[in-house]
Amino acid sequence: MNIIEINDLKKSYKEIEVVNVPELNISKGESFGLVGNNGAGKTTLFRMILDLIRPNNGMVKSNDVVVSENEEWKKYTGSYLDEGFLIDFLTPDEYFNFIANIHGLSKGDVESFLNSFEEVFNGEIRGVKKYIRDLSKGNQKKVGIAAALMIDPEIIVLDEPFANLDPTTQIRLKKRLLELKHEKQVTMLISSHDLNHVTEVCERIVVLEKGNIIHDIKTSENTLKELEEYFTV
Amino acid sequence: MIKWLIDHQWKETFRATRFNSSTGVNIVLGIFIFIMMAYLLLLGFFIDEILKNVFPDQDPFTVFNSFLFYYLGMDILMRFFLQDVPVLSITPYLHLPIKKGKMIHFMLSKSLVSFFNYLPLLIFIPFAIKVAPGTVGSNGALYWFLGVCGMILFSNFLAIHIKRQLAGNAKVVLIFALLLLSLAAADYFQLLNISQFASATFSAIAGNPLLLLVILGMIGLAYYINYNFLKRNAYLEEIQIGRKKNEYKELNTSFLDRYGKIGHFIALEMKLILRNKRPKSIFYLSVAFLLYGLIFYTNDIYLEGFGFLIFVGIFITGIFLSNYGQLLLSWHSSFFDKILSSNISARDYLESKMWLFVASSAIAFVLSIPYIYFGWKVVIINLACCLFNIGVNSFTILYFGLKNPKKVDLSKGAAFNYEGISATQFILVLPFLLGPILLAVPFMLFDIPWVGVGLLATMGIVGFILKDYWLQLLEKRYNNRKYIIASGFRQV
Repeated sequence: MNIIEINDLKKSYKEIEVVNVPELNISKGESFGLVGNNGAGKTTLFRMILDLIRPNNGMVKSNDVVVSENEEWKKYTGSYLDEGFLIDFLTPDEYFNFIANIHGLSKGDVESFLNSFEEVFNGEIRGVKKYIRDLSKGNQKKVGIAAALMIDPEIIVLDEPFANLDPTTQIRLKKRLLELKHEKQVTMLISSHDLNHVTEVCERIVVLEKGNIIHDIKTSENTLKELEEYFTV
Repeated sequence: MIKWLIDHQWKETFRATRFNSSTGVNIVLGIFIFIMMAYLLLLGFFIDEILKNVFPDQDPFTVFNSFLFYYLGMDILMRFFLQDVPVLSITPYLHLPIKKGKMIHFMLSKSLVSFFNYLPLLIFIPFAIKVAPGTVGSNGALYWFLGVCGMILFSNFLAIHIKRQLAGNAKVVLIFALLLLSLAAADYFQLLNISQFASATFSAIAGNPLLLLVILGMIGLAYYINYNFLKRNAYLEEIQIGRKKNEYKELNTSFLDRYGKIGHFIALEMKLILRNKRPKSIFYLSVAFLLYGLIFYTNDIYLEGFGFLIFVGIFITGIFLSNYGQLLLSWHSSFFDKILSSNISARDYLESKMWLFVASSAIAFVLSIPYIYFGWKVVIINLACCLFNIGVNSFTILYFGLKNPKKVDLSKGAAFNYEGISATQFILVLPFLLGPILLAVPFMLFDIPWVGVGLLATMGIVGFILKDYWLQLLEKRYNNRKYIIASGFRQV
């Protein structure tokens, strides 16, 4: 069953085409990796999936419902694309509580989730009396990703989740994502420049170039090599 | 090297968002500035006439001089509020082979460009040409003028140093203002004689140019203190120019929890207001404007009529609504993507904004109840205006707030800050303030003003009863415009 269906999706700015995806289906529980050089249209594609940008043409369906027509998808979609998702004058705890309240999570759920995230937080997030804007880039990212995962989503959309994180956290986050995939069959959409990580987490890799899908591969032992060849120009 | 620094400064200034705001705003601002300058110039040319009228048996030159120390105090106070501390975002240069001293000199000279140094000249130059020569001769007038310029420069360096040290600590400013007031009072009751001392000082300067060296020394000292401080502290973690970290302040909003999502959004909005510089200054300004009534209510002419009272009523109960509401979505510009992709419906989002407006108006009204001292009439009119603000103006503001919001930086101050303001906001003020008066005027002409007041109240109540209808309209508009708004916010 396809949880995300993209049909004939096009977006261009001033005649320059940034995204042109005739068809793309992501099935439930699939972990989907998006790679491509800067300007390939990865973030734009994710933004259209999250109904943040209006496409010039075509549509995105989430669970058979067009995302721009119905807001139901927001309940089961956790996302973190950039700092624009953070409310920077709140402390991390206030931010988590706010998101939890919006999603109607109980205090107990939030607490147990955040405790389980403690190994990623490394003692620098919870209980600190600092606003998010005064945290380091890496810690800001941890807050954003944790808030996205906290709502117990069926779909997770993350843009460059590994960038700016220290190696230990990268490995822990990767472990965490794999757990979600295996234990809860969460559908994941992840973009990354780090070919190693993305091939480890994702079972399917799509390569985007100038807005077009030029490779759509099922991850195998050779995938990393294939990708490296493609990007070595 | 200096050439590069100047070049970068120039680019920084002209590439700043404020210059890219709409032409309409720039024209209006230009006109305001022009009018202000014209007034100052006129004042400069005719101040001797004014002084002759007020102090008929004294020499205008002496009287003018006697105010100069107070002027200095006011000048420092004003700079404290309004002048920006010169910052060269020094960070990107620190690792380059440039002498720190050079950068600091550059940074300090930059403060000379501030228009606070030039605006007073509009008064002082005409005075130096027209009045001063009559008392102290043309050479004396020149020395006097140089002395005054020296005082302005001294004030410039002193003020920026104090401001940098205190990082805009409002309490100190208050203490300074009180000190100034008490000095003036002491002067008035002839305990101290500051005004005489001031006039003696400046007369002495006019008579003896060597005294200018003393002033030069004072400027040098103030400059040196600045320089020394910056030089010693030109390290990344110490200088913290631009963005300083704020201490975390707990804010208990649990009383809003029972209102569900809307309550959480209002709590968020309260944190936004109290933790960010610009909305916070708007908030304090709105509180200060509660006193606005005192200007009108103490005057029987206004108290007998209706027009001014309605104006004041709308103002008192709606100033926050209009000032905060005109940047409706802009306040959320830095995290608007999260709002769009979070589990909150457009309807709840807009409704939370509406309730914030309603609450602000209602609270302002409650706080204005002590005006009952000036009679029931005032309170009833304020109540009618409050209802009008709640039922009509809040929806008007919501509607226009969705028009074309621009990104704003929450951490900048509110004074002279036109970021995010476009022609819409200027035009919006007109129906907001004038609308209710125009509605009431016909009834005033027919001598049944209370009917007009009743009409305002009724419109407010009816408007509020129909809130679901308005919110539906607003929701449609919001959904239509949200992509454009969000993409505008994403552009840095």
